[in-house]
Amino acid sequence: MPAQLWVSVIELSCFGGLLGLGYYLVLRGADIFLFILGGLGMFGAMLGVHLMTTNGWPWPLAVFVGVLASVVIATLTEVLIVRPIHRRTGGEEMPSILAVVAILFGLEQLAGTLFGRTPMTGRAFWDADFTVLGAHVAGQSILLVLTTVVAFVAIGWWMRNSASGRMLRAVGDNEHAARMLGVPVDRIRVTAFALAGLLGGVAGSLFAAKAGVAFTSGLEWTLVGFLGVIVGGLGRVWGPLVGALIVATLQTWVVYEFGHAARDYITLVLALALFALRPEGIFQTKVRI
Amino acid sequence: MKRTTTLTGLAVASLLLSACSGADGGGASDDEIVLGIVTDTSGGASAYAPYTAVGMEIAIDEINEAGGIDGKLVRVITKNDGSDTTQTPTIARRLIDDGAQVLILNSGSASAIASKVVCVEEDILCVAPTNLSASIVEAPDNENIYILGPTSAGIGEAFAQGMNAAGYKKLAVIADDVATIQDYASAMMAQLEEAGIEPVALEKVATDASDASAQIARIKDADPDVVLVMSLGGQTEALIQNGLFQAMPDMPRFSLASIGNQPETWDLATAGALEGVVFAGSIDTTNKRTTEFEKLLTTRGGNNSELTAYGPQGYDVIKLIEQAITAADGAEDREAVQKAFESISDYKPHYGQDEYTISFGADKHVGADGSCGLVLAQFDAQDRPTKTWPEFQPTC
Repeated sequence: MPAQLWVSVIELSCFGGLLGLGYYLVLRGADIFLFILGGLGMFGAMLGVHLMTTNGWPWPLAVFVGVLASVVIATLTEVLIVRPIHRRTGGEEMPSILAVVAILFGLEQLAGTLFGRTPMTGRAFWDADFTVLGAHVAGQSILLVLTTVVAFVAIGWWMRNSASGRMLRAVGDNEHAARMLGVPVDRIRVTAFALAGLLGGVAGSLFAAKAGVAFTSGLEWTLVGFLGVIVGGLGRVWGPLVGALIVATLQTWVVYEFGHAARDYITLVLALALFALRPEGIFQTKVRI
Repeated sequence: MKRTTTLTGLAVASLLLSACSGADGGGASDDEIVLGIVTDTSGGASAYAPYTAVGMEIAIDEINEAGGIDGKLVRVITKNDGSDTTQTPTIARRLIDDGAQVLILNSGSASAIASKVVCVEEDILCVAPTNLSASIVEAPDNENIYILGPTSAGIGEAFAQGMNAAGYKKLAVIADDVATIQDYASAMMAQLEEAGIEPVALEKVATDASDASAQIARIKDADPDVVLVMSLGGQTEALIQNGLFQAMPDMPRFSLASIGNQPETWDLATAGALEGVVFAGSIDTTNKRTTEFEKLLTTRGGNNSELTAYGPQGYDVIKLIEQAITAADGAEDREAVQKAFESISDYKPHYGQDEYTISFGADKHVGADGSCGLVLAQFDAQDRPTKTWPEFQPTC
């Protein structure tokens, strides 16, 4: 593949990896697919751009408020929607999932109403352009890569070395047992949702400068992160990033070699192969007894 | 894995949650004329539907301020289909049930096509003012539906003549994969190939795609003389134009009408990325009717006061319907209204070149009389469509 395509692969991998890491945290801490992650990224990015362009806010403050909004929405989703359903249904997964999907569509329409139906372009935080091996590399892409590395290292360290990180894994493994052992399950679940919101907001704000953002971006972005965590699995914190890298490489290579239509076929083949051979993803969770 | 079952949940929820609409209603009374508008405030066409809506509002306000049509005030009822063609027929029927005497289709071309059968079954005049697809007015079920034009085939013909005039022989096309654009693509490619332009690459990009680098690399490998971008505009168009500008900065580029008529999209492009792009515009500032409309738009356009082709087309569709209802002595007799609409001839619209006219007939459901409703325009270094393309302009 031409060098420029590898730049795209890295950008898409980092974006999908950050969103996948959000999925990973909520799956490990609350055992649910947080299907609003792309919506959180979209909402945070659109709010940030709106505050900059319409209200004239300085970009650091606007982006901060946008990301903060993603954190707040994720937190409220757990406290007001998912937790009550989780308790009422005795921990059944499907009702919570359906509610989360409903929130995703609601977020998209809310963003369209509040910020407009026309696409917006995100702000490049580092407006520079480099040439590496004949490929153009934007400063924003470098920031995306650095942010991704920092996020994965920090979350990995936190989960391995901090008490709250270990408790998150304990809650995800067996919520009932964790509660019996005195683990503050509700607080841990909220932490997982809030961190996922943070990752979604940051990913959206960074990526919007490359691809733009519209109120309809939420579902597309949700699927990008979802594929990353499905392929990568939950066995290692790096799983979603590896998964996103595989998906982005395959999808880009296939489109380059065989055209757009082949993209959906390779995604289908990848999904079927995974479900048949490694249904828990590349990095599988060790079962604790 | 246990969680794989949630995939099913996602699919089910998507189906359950896909419908949305907004409305106001009530039947038609004897002292009013009711126009029903299918619009898009939440889907793919919502980027440009507001510009058409403003043109329609200005015309309706003018009519009502002058006492209405034959003393009857015009009332509008509007419903959103979100460019969801599974919803459009239901919404069209609901508008008719609420008293609409004429339907205006201000959504995507695919929505207009989905409405055709309702227009025939309810025997009601339907007009799609901004849609370009010739399929809208082709059989079957085309008896009651009209578009102003020019069509996508007309754009293809103008592009073919223009590319030949500029000496371009090898064409690469990159199009987004929505039904509306794919419909345009087939109509336009036929015209281009007939004119001797050789397609060397045909690439598709998913709507809302985050990256088009692979498709652009394939185009670069095909070594075309010119690239044609076909999209509904917005984010996808900006993504493609930015990528083409980065990979092939000196490559001549053409685009459809969307990019020229969406001011918000211009700012999505990286600085200078649109410079030189030729598009199928319909605004000629030497046309005095256009400048008259521009003045109206400045004072009455509110948040959508930028001059695009959509505004005059919205304005003109109301004026055309006013002519038909006046000639039919009211809107109660739907068949008479349609006959009167088909009798409109040499109407001078507020877009296109000065000599451009619109006429309809029993077998002429595309209003455009010739190709001069088009103006091949070009973006300047500030990414603004301020120039006409010096190489070629369509004539009537």
